[in-house]
Amino acid sequence: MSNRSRRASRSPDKSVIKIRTEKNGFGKLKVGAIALLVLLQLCFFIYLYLIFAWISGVFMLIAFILSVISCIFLLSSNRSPASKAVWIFIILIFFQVGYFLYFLSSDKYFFRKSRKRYKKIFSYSDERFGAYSVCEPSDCRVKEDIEFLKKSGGFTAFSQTDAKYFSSGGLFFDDVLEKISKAEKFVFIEFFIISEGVLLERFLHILTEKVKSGVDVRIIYDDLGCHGAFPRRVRKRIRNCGIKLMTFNRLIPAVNLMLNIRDHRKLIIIDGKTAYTGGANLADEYTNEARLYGYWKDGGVRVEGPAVDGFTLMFLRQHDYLTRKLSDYEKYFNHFDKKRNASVAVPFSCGLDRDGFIGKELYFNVFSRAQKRLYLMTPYLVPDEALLSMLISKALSGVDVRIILPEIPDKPYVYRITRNNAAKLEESGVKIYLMRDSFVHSKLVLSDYCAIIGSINLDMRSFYQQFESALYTDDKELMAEVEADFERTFEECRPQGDEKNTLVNKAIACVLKIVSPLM
Amino acid sequence: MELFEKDFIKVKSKREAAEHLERCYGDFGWSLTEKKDDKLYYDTVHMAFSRPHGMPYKDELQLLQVRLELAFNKTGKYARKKPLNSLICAFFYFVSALLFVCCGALLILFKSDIALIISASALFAAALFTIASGSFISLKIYRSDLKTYDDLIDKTIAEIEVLCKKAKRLRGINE
Repeated sequence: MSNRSRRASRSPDKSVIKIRTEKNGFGKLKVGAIALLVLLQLCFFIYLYLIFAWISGVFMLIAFILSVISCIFLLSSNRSPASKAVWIFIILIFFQVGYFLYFLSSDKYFFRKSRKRYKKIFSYSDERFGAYSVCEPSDCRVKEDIEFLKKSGGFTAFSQTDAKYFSSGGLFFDDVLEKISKAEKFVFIEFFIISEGVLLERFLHILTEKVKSGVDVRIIYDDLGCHGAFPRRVRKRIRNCGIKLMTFNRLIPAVNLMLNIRDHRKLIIIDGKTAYTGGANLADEYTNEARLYGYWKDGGVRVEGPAVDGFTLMFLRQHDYLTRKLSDYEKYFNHFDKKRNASVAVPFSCGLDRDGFIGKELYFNVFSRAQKRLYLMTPYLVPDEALLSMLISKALSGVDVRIILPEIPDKPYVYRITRNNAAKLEESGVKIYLMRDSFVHSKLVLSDYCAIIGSINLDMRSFYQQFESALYTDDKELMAEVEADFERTFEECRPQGDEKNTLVNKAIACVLKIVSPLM
Repeated sequence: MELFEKDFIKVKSKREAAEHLERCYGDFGWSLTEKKDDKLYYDTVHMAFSRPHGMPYKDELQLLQVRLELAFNKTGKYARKKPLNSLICAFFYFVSALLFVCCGALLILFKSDIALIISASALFAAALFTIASGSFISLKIYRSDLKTYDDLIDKTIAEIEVLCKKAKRLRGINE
């Protein structure tokens, strides 16, 4: 066909303007193919089982007994009540195979060896973690929170640490790149998503120079988060530059529900002197240089001081888990003499490497202790009933509870549940704000006495399954910066109450809510 | 080095909106670096822009820019909606007229009875009336929708101008 006749047609694209967007077609295809293979394997096992069951009635009896036993184990487990209810429903309704599905999903069996490895790493690294000056916060609520973090996860409360808040991905990464350009010893990077693009090029340009001058550069990325966006040729190029690149939980086409466990952290540590965490991943949409879902609202925090060691520890533990080697931890910790502000800074993490659900419990504690104000910024609002009830209770008690959500969603099915939960909260006096024309990706909690900034979404995946990182602090200056960002963002929002929640939407959200504990 | 000194965007737009878009992006500090026709579609052009990386109020400008882009797409959506209702209406009337004609034709096939022939004639007349009334009503709907959506497009274009003015103010450009 000639050029002229090819150009005779009108574009099928209805948009007047389209800015560069990420094309994730191959990534989706890869994940889809893996999901299909896993499903086929699962169907094969179930088919084999049903053949045996048909041949011998004894198998039906065994299935029934195993279902009852599974339910007993399930009820005594530490899953959330909502998750227990959904699994009991699945086991009893599909009693021939339900217990089998539950077994496949249980991290007790499939994550047991990994947990043992983590425990060994934790025990080794704890011995090498230094002593730091004791924090004496004046607010007893902060004291209780840091006591909780210490007892539940062994997280140290640091003082003498400066923290700075960044209200956008652009500002955040500009600062990161400036600090990396001055790195002398090591740069540790851990992201859920690393995507080919202008931002990654900027990073690689600086990191390549740093490697040449002897700086130890290590990057951990999540295989599912990076699917389709972080091609093999880029990874090869990075490795060829001398940068150590490690994959978390590789996607493999085998029946393994542990594929659902992801490293959702966003961490950057430079020379043990500066550390960053927040909501932004290493991709162009986070700095609005590519357009996926309207304006991308994100944020992060930089710490300088002893608290950096907390983040270094977090990274090295994950690094040691992936490399199966134990690092020389003391080499990477720093000694800080400079006196900074006396506020509390607690870098903490949550995930299946620990017993208990630290992120969720801390959020619950912070919500319950808020007396005047509780501001939240989150892309998803799918917490369990306890947290929802706490928010309602706080609003009814006169606490100013405000939640900023995106107006443009990235996952429509999660957004339905989010909006439904938001409508429920709004009935009780919680103020819901939708940031116009934007996708809000920040994960912020601002109470009247503390702030939490990190990668933890207000949803079940972040609380129960994913590896997350965050900073807990009572730094008044930082809290003022966060508050200013909230105030500016409120002006760009509209109230949720404008829209009618139709019967169809409610019905869809109801069905999705049933499966949300399993997501 | 350009990678650190400048920001880049690549935009695909409809040909008729390209010039307006170029002017608007200029208000946001973007300079056109490349413009070329799409290889497949005559109504599409590709443009590339750049601007200095370090700009004051960049986040505010980015938010306004997203609103600008959404406003442009809204004008396209309104333009597509103009003939929609009238076309649906015309289609409905056309199908009705066709049914009348078919029924009339079927009756004529059984032309032994004079009553049937009279009925068939009535059906043909009904079909003609349906076409005539359908055309009249569709045209009325089209004119009404044209006015409604033209007003909405004008309102959106005014919004675009307001966004561009805000962008210029943020960049410190006095008008």
